Amino acid sequence: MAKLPQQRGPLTERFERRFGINELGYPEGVNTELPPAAIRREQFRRLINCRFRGTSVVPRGGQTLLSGTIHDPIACIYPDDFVMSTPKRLWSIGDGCPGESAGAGFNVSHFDPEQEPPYQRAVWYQGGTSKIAIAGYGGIPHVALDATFRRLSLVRVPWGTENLGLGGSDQSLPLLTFTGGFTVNVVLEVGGICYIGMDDGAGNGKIVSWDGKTVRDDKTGIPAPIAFGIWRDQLTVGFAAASNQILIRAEGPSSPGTYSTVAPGVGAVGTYPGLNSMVSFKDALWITDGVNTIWKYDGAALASSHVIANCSECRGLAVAFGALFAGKRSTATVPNHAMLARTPDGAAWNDTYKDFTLVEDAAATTVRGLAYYKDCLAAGVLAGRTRVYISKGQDTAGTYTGYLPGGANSGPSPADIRYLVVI
Amino acid sequence: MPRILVSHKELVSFGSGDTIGVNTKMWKFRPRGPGEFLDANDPVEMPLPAGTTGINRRPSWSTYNLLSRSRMYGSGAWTANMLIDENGRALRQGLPAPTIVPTVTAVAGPGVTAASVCFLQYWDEIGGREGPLSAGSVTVNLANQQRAWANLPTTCPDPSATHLRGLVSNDGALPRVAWKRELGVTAITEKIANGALGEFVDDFTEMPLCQINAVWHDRLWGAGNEQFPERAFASAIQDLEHYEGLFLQTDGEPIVGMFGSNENFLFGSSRRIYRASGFTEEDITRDVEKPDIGLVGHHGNAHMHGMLVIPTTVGFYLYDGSWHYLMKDRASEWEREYKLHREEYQAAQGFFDPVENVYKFGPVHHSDIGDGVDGVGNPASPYVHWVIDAKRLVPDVAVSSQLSAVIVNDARMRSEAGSAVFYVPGSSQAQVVTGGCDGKLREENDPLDADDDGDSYRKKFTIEPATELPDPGGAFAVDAVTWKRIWNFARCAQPLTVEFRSGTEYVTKSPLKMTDVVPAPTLGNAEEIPDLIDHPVETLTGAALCMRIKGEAFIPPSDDPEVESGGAAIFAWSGWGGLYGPGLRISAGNQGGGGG
Repeated sequence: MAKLPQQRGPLTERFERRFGINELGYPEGVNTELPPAAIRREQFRRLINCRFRGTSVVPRGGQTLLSGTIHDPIACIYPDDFVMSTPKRLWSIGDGCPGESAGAGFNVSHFDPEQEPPYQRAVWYQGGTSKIAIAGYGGIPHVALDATFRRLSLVRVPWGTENLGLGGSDQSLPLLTFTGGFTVNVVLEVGGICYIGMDDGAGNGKIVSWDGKTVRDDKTGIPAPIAFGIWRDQLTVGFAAASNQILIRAEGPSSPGTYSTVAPGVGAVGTYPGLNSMVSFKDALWITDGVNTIWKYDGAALASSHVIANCSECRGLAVAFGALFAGKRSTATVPNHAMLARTPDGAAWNDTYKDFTLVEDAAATTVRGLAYYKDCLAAGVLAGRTRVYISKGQDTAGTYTGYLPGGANSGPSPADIRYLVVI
Repeated sequence: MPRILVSHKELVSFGSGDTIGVNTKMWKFRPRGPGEFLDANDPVEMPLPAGTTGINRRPSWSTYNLLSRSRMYGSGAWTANMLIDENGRALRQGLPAPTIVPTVTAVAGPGVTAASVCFLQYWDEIGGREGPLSAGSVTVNLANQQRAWANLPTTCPDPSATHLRGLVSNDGALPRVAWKRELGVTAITEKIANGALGEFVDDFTEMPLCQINAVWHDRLWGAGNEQFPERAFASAIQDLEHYEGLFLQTDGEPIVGMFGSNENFLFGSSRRIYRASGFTEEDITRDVEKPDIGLVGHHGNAHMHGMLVIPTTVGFYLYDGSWHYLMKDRASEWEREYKLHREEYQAAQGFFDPVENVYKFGPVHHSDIGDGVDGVGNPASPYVHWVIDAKRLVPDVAVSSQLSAVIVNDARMRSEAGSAVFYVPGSSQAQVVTGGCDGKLREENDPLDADDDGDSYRKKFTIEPATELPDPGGAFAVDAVTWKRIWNFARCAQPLTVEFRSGTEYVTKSPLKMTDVVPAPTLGNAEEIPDLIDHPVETLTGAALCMRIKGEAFIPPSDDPEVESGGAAIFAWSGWGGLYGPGLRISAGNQGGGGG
C-alpha cells in the first residue's frame, strides 16, 4: 500500500494550507509589499492568469475568435457598444401577412438590425377590409385602418422573438374613428401636426389635422387625397391622375390650412398612393405616378421631368447620399426585374442602376417602397417571398442584404409591401 | 445595440503620399449572440467625415440619449471630434458656420416693418443638427417691404449639411429662423412676419478639439485640447454639440483624465485630482480633491458595482464619494511598474467585465512577468492586465483594510487594442469582446479555450502561495528545515510544473532547488488520494520553502465545484501542505539533526 503523506516520522511537523479548511479562508489576491513569508496565508506572492472559484484557484477562461480580418492584418481594433435608447425602425405596411396570407387583411412589419429577427411582423389586422396607412407622430408609429386611427404600443420582445408571435393581432390604442363613410388613405406628420387624408368612397375627400387632442377639418371639398409628402417644410398632397393636381399647404399649425393648387402646364399629373411617391430633392418636389413618369415641381412649374425607360411600375422614390432613387419593375430586355433608377442631380438618370433580380434574388419582380434608413438604402422587394433589401452602407450599387419578415420562420406566403417609412 | 469598431492601421513608410500617418476606418455591425462568428459582410464601413483623418490613439467615447436622439461622441482617435448619430453615420461633431455673409436688401412689399439683421446657418436634415450662425448682415430697415436674400452659399465643407437656414433678428431680438432650403438655392425673397418666425438660435460654436471626453450632468465635457490643455470644456446642457464658452481648469497642469460620479465630476492631471459639482455657470464649484495624487490617464477609470475604479499614480483607488485605497499590498510594485512603463499605463484601458465580475486594466508590460516568470530575463514579455476581483471586493467595501486582497494579473502575448462589453438588445446577456492588433475580434471568458485562440503565451498560469516559514524567529529560522514531503490539493489531468526553492524567508527569487513535472495522467495520483498531487522533496533544506506552480493551456473546471469535471485540460488548485523536520544548522557551530 502506498505511503500516505500524513504519515510522519519522529520530529516531523506538518503544515497544511487548504482553503476553507484548517482556519484558512477564501483565497485572496497578491501581496508583494511584505516579505514573501510574512504575507497572510490566504494571499499569494504571484497569481497570473488565474481566477478564484470558491475555495479554488482555477485558470481563467480563454478567447474565442469572433471575426475574420477586419480592415487589415496589422490593424488595431477598438470595439465599443453604442447603447441606443429609442428604437429607430423601418416600417412597412402591406396586404396580407408574410408567411400567413397573401391577401387577407393587412400587416404592419418593422425592420431594425437591433432586433432578432431583424424584419419582424408586428401586427396582422385580419379584419382590415379596404385601407391601411402608417406614419410616425411624436416619434410613435400611428396606424390608420379603414375608418380608425390608432397609436401603436408594441410589446417589448426579447432577442430572438418576433413581435407578432408575442403581441398577437393588435398592439395599439384606438384614438379616432371617422364617420360618414370616411376611410383613411394616408397620414403624415408635418411641423408637429398629424395630417390625415381620407375620402368617403363617393369622390369626396378631405384632410383633417390631429394635434394629439383634437381633430379639425384642415381642407375639405377636394378629391380623395392619396399621397403625402414634405417640401420646404410644407405638406404636399397627391391625387389620382383624374384630378390632375397637387396641393401644397402653407406652413402653420392652425386649421383650416391654406392650400395652393398646382397643376401641370402639359399632361396630367397623378401621384402613386402612400408616402414614398413625393420627395424633396435639390429644393424641388419629385413625384412618381406609379408607372414610369417622374414629375418635378420647383416652386414655379410642375412638369414631367423624366420617363424611366423600360419601366411598368415605379411606386417609390427616396433620397440618399445626395442622389434621387426610384424603384422600378422593368418591362423590356429584362422583363419583371426589380431594379433601381438613380439620378445624382435630377437631370442625368441611370435607369438600370441596380438590378435585384440579377444579383440578389432571381424571383424578385419589382420594388415596392424605398427609403433612406440608418445610412443605408432600403428597398421593399416583391419576390416569391417579400423581403426588404438593405444596402451595405453607402454602396447602393453593390450587393444588398435581404431580410425575410419573421426570419427563416416565416412561411411561403408572399404578401405585399405598400411603402416604407422610418419611425 | 450597434457595435462600433475603430481600426487604426499604422502606415509604416514615411515616404510620400498616402503612406504617411494612420489609415483609420470605422465600422458598425448588428448585434449577434455570444460566440456567434461575424459574417464577412457584417461589418459595414462608416466613411470618415470629409477632412478628417485618424490618429493612432485609443478613442474616447461617451453616449448620450435624448428623446429620439441616440448619439455617441468620440474624441482622441481622429483629427476632429467625432459623432455617431442614431442613423449610424460617422460625422464631425459640429457643422461649420457659413463663411459667407448674406446680402439682404429691402424690396417692394407688402411685407414687414422692422430693422432686420440676417444670418445664415447650415442644417443637417437627417440628424436635425445645426451649425453656428454666420456673421450678421448689415441692418436692413424695412417699411412694409420684403427681404431679398442673395449671395447664399450653395455648398458646405461638411457634406452632412443638407440645408441652409436663414435667420432674422428684428429690432435687436434674438435671431429666429425665417426659412430653410436645400443647399443649392442662391437667392430667396421672403416676408415672414415677426410673429411667424421660428425657433431662436443661441450663439455657439463647435466643441474645441479634444482628446478625451465624458458626459456629466447632461453636458459633454472634453479635455486634452492642444491650445488649452488645462481646460475641461463643457457643452451646452442637453445640446452636446454646442459649445457656449463654459470650461473648468486645473491649476495649470494638463488634464489627463476625467469622469463623473453621481453629483461629482472629477478631473485631474498627473499631479492632482480636482472635483467639481453643480449644474450651471452660476453654481458650478471646483475644489482640489487630491492635491498630491494624480491620475494615470483617462481610459482606465471605470465603474464597478456603482463605484469607480481609478488608477492613480500610487495605485488603484475605489471611489464611491470617498476614496478607498486598493493597493496596500502591491503599492511598491505598482509604483515601480508605472515608472517603467509610464506611456503604456497612461494609454491603457480599464473596464468592468460583468461576465467574470472583475475589473481589468491594461495592456501594459510588467518587469516581473514574462516567459521565465521569475523576474529575470524576459525576452518574450507578454502584455499584462491588472485584475481586481469584484466578488471579494464589494462586500468588504466598508473595511478599507481588506480592499487590497483581490488583485491578480492576466498575461497574454498577443498585442491587443481595446475591449468592450456588448449586450444583446432585449437581453441582459453580456459578452466581453477584445479587439486585437491583428485586425480580429475575439470573445473573452471562453471556459473551454485553453490557449487564448492560439496565443503563443498559451495562457500560462502561475500560482505562488505565501512562502512557508514554519518558525519565524524561532529555532527553525536559525537552524535549517528539512522538507520531507509536499503535496498539492489540485485537480490536474495534464503535465504541470511545480518548482521549489528553499532558503531564507526571501527565497522567492533564489536559485531553483527542484522541479517536479507532474505527469498526472489521470485525476488523483499514485497515492490514490483524489485531487492530491504528492511531490518527493526529501533533499530540500532551508528555513523557508517557496513553491511555484506553472502550467499552460489549462481550462477551468465546471462552475459547480461539486461536479467532477472531466477533460484533460482541467485544473483547479485549493491549497498545499507538507511535512518538515529539523535540518542542518546554517550557521557555523551546532549541527542540525537529520530528517525524520
